[in-house]
Amino acid sequence: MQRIMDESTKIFSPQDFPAYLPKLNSLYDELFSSGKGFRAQMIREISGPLGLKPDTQKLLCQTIEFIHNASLLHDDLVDRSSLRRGKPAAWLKYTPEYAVLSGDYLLARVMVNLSSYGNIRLVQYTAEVISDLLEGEWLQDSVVGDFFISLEQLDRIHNLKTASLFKWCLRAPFISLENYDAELHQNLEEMGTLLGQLFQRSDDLLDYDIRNQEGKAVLGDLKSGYLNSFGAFVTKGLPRNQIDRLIKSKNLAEFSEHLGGTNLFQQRVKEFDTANEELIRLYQHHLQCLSDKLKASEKDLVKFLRPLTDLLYWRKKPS
Amino acid sequence: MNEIVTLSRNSPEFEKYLRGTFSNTHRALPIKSLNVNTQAEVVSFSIVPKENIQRPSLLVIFLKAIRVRRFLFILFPLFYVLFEELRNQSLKDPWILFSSTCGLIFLYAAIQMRNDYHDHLNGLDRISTETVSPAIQKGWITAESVRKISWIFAASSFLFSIPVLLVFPKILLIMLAASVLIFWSLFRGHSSFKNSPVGELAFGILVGPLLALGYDVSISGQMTWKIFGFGCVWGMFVLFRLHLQNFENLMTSSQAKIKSIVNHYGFDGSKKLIIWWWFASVLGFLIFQAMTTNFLIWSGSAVILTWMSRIFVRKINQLASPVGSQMSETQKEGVQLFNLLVLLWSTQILFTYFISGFFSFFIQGL
Repeated sequence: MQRIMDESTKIFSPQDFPAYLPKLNSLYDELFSSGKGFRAQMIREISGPLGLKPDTQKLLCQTIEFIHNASLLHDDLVDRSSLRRGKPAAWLKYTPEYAVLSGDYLLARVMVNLSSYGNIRLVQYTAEVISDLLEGEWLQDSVVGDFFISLEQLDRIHNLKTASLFKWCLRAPFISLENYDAELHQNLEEMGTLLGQLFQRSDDLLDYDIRNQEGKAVLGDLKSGYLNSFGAFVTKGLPRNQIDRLIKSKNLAEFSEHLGGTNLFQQRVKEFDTANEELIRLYQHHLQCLSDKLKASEKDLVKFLRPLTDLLYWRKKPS
Repeated sequence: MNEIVTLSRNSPEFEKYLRGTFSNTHRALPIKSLNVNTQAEVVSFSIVPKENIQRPSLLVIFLKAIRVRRFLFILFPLFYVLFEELRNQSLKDPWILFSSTCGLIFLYAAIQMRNDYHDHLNGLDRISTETVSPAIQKGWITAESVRKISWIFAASSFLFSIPVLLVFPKILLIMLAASVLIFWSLFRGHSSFKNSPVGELAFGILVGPLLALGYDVSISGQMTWKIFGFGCVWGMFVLFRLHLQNFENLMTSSQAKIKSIVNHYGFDGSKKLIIWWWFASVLGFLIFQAMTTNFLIWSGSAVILTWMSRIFVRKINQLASPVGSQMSETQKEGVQLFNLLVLLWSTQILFTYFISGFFSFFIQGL
């Protein structure tokens, strides 16, 4: 598991992209080198017990990282975020035009690479995931400034925007092995949804300085007009004037005060954690169902998937 | 902590869990999934001991199970036709009136419950969670009980309809037309009655002109153009409510590939459709009023409805997202507008009835 967090993932070589396009390779170098490559690692860990060939593994790793990074290039421009992984965002360092084009180019490469592989079901599924991702982005942009949105509505957006890539990581290795069992894929789909939801909710808690080892800017989402999942959980049922005060909070102390004090804030965090523990329990249940469907040689997959919720929701470093 | 069970459609236990007949001591509550797919192969259930389910009073459970709020769709036409025939003094027999009214109310309750039962079995109630009845979803009552009660209501409706059929056999014509319409739209829609454009239009015709004419025949033995006109206008308003409700579920129902009219037009197109549908319904209402009431009532209705419509139109035009809080606010605004129309129309009916009654009493006194 330690490898997931630490291993450097150089998943492309300069030959993959045309050298005659100015700044393209340097843009990608900077973008990919600063990421953890978590999704690519997930693919590797899943592919191992399934016995995927190294070439196929590499293709899948490239695919997921290309899609993820294309979404980041576009996302930063859409959100006007100036920093990405502590460095200036591509649209600022280069130009907005290059940020859009380099994102588009990554998605085009995904289709070129996958179609060369020849599994049409994999191409189709990947295209669906890219569509979901874009739909999620689009919808998220449409609710900026909506401070009365419900957690359930946000979950639907996050299922498209965040969970779609987790689902792909779980399902794509099986599809590439031409295992199309409908029940198995529904099982994996549910697990991917839960992982995405837990990851997003944990990420949203960072905004309120909860388990924020990464040092993410506090109340950043709220200040940019986006009520995230924890915000929606906390504001549920509160009177409008209190929500108005909460969203105008300049810092976390002010936010806690407007909510009713630090104790109440901490209590709401606990309640949020308890609600998410139910999702974790559901994930573990689906994992057990998956285990029953796997062949004996594939059972090691469960060992990798079981602690993922600790990593993604509780942000526990793997021991 | 409740046990979780996941079952495949192929499992012999699957339907027992959905119907709630798998145990006498526990309820199986399907766990909501964000992956919208009505044809899901697998459903996960949370198994909850019956005593752990928080239930409201029996009356609340009953009212929620029969979808009492939706009764406005049929109660208002019954109310209109009844007062129209009272005013015309063409009611034949109070017992026939009682039988016919009870028969229709039981039939509607049976259809609502049967519909909820099917939505539960098909997984549709796991898609549009905003509009489903909580009675089955929260485990207050099993789907199987809902099915049984719907049969009791259907049988009661049949019993109540016997005297009406004997006195006014021509009601059979309306029943035949309704049956043809239901089967035709089911055949065209290939799935649930209300989930296709044809089914939606058929629903408007059934709850509009066919219901009004059917009730008219069953209480007075006659059909009039006025009642037909009323039914058409009412059907338009009912469809407005249906479009509004489908609009609220636009995202999830589109993902589930449900082919409603609203899904066909999409977010931006449906905003226009709903506004146009509302104004077309109001226009139909005003034309009908111009032909059937006096100028004072007509102009009053026109001014109030136009004035109140502007808030709804502004809200729906400003709507930026198919998800988010604005959507439910717009929905509430539309429902309030619809309720205002019903209130306005009901007041008018009562006013006209009692004023004309007063004058006829006054004239007779002279």
